[in-house]
Amino acid sequence: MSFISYTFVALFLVVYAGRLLIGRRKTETPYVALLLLASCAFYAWHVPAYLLVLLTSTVIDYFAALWMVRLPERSARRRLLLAASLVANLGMLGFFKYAGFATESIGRVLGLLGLGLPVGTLDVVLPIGISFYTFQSMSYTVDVYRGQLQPTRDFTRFLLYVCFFPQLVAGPIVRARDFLYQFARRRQLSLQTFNAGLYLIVRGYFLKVVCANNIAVCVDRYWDAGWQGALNSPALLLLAILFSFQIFCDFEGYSSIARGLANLLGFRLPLNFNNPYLATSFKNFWQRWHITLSQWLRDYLYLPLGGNRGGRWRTLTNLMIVMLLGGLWHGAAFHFIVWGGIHGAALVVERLLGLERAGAGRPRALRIAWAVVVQFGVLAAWIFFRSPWVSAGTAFIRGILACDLAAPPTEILWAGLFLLPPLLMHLRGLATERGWLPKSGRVEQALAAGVMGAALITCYGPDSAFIYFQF
Amino acid sequence: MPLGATLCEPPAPPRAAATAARCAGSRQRRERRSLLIGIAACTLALLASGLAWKLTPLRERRLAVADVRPPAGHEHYLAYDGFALDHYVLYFGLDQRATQRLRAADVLILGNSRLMFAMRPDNLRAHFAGHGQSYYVLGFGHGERDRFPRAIIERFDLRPEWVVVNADGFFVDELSDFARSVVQAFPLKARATYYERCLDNAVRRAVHRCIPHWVSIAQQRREYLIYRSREDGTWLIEAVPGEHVGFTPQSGEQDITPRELAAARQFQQTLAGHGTQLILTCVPGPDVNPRRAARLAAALGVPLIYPELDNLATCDGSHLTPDSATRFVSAFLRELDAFWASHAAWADEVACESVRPERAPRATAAHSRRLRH
Repeated sequence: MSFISYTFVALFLVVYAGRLLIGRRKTETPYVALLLLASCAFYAWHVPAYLLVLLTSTVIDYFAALWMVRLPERSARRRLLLAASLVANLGMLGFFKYAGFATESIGRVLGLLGLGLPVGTLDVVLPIGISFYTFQSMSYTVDVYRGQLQPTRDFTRFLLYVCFFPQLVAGPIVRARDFLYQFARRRQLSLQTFNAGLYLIVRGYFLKVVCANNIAVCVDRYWDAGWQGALNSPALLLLAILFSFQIFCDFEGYSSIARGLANLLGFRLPLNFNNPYLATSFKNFWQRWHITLSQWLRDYLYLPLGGNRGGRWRTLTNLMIVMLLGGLWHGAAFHFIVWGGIHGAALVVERLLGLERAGAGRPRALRIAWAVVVQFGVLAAWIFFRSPWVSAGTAFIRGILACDLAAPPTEILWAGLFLLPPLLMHLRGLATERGWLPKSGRVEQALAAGVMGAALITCYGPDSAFIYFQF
Repeated sequence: MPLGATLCEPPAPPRAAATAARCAGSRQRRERRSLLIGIAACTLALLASGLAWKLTPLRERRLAVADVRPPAGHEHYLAYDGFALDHYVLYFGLDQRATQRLRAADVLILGNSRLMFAMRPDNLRAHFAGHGQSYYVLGFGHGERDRFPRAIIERFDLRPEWVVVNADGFFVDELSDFARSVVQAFPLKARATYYERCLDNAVRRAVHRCIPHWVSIAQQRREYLIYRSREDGTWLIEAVPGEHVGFTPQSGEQDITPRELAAARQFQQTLAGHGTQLILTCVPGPDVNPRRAARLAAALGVPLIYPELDNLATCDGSHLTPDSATRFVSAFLRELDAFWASHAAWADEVACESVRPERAPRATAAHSRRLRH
């Protein structure tokens, strides 16, 4: 079910009515049951049978965690339980997400070797949100295994943690230790919470429906022509910038709506974006972009690999592995791996140059120059992310570097207008970070929400699905 | 002192409690004020938008969704409003009357949006009524090709006598992404999506009477609103008028790909399994090559009905204008009649010899040959 549908609005209104009538403290059992029911309905709306996949993952992790705490800390059986949980989760993720890619790649390799052996291709519909809820569920068992979290005995709460509908499909990826404790915490209804939630929701819908969807029309129309050589360099560059903001508005829009909805329902979800295009280093970019994923990768992949404790080269290798796997997490395709590879390589170079802390202590000119390099590096990586395959991405970049100067098509220039709102948001964020302006107050937020609400009615773009739904 | 009191938190001093209450009250007032400011800002922005549209020359720029009135009566249902609803209606049989008519059709006409724009109901109705035949136009927009209509034919076990296909890029053995999402849906979701889109249309129709949609107005984007007939599947196309552009159909030689031929053969086999015969046509367009369709017809051994006409025009660079569509359909039906007459004569001849027809009549090959040269 998409956030941008009347069906969802109806579902949410029913749940919110439940919050007003039977869940005024948020901790009431009937209210939790209603949330669970709504979350299952929300998920089943995609492919009802896939609710079983979600339930399987949840049941395995629930029992694995409960059994784990009964065993001594360093016992082999405890490790075995963790391994079983990880294999089950990664197995499901691998089957649904990567089996088709793997069989296709094997077929290609065999073809290149002259062994035209028949390798069947798997065309499986991806269970929506599987990459997100699998990571959430896995983080729970790992935290219990590490002794950082006491497992919950209440299956309902654990299930709701995995399938809480505002963030089920595209995050933010919430940790159990940040969410489960919220069940016991009363959160009374208040106008302050309502306003804060409403602001986030309006902001999210504005970013998605007005900015991302209008930009998407232009990007979808011209992208293929771009890598096929039908556009000049300025048009290609502008198109790449448009996509970089489209994906920001799309994903940040979703996250913002999710946080707002959760707020209204009495829960808090973590921040997922913090003005990513203000990043002054690649490391800083990952502290601002899809924050919950980069933190997950840090805690459950980078650190177990050894982090930065195994010497310089080990650190760099770990960084590269994490980013490559991060790229693969986005989708089973080589262009996503290249996207991750570019970020990994950039992080490695940055660390070698000692610029990972935004060039602190370096001359101002160098810091500014590196910030510009970072933004262009991120842009180049987005080109591969959006292109259908790697060679299309390289052709696109070659087109930009060809420097054949001519005016871009009017439609691309026109779409550039929709860059203004996210740019203004970034500038406002910069002013706050630098202390030039105070954090936006209630009145400023109310005015902005009013204007964004009007824009939702007068400037909405054509319907298009959230980009991260496919991951 | 009662025991309960000792277990409770000590009561706050009276002055602190009063201060806290005052703070809470003032916070509440601030929140209420900011909510009102938001609502007022939104209302003012909408009011200003409406005035800027209605009181300036911009009012000349029309919005299809607000201008077009839904057709009177119950014959039509909303088929397209930036989203193809008819995929859901026809695949899931959401409209009983449309499904009945589809099942009863002797002739099915399939193809893309170019076909749907060409097959206007006036000519078709008079012609088929005169022949005592029923027909249904089962074409789709949204880049739809062969697999989706084939899925409908199989789902409802349709057994028309003839299927006429607009061969313009039709045979690829693929579902569009949109059709894939439709096929994967379940009946409740399909029904909800349909009603949701109808509601969306009604809401936008009401809102955009007085509040502009600046994106459409500024870009002067051509908008279509399409209703579909329950009786014969034809589209009633409502659009903000655009410029008519003349064109000459492509005439160069173009080979058909093995994939296209394989897909077409598969489609033909499916039809044969339903006791149905295939006829190809080719609705003219600026990037349509009738010779390609002729080659395909020859390869499949089926007739191609393609009336060659001059001075055709499109309304948007792709679809025929109503005038051109009327001329095309009249000529198409004449040729179709001629083919059926020859086919009937041949069938009678075969029936006299008590032989079951197993191959297409000679007229078929003659038709294809005429076009090939």
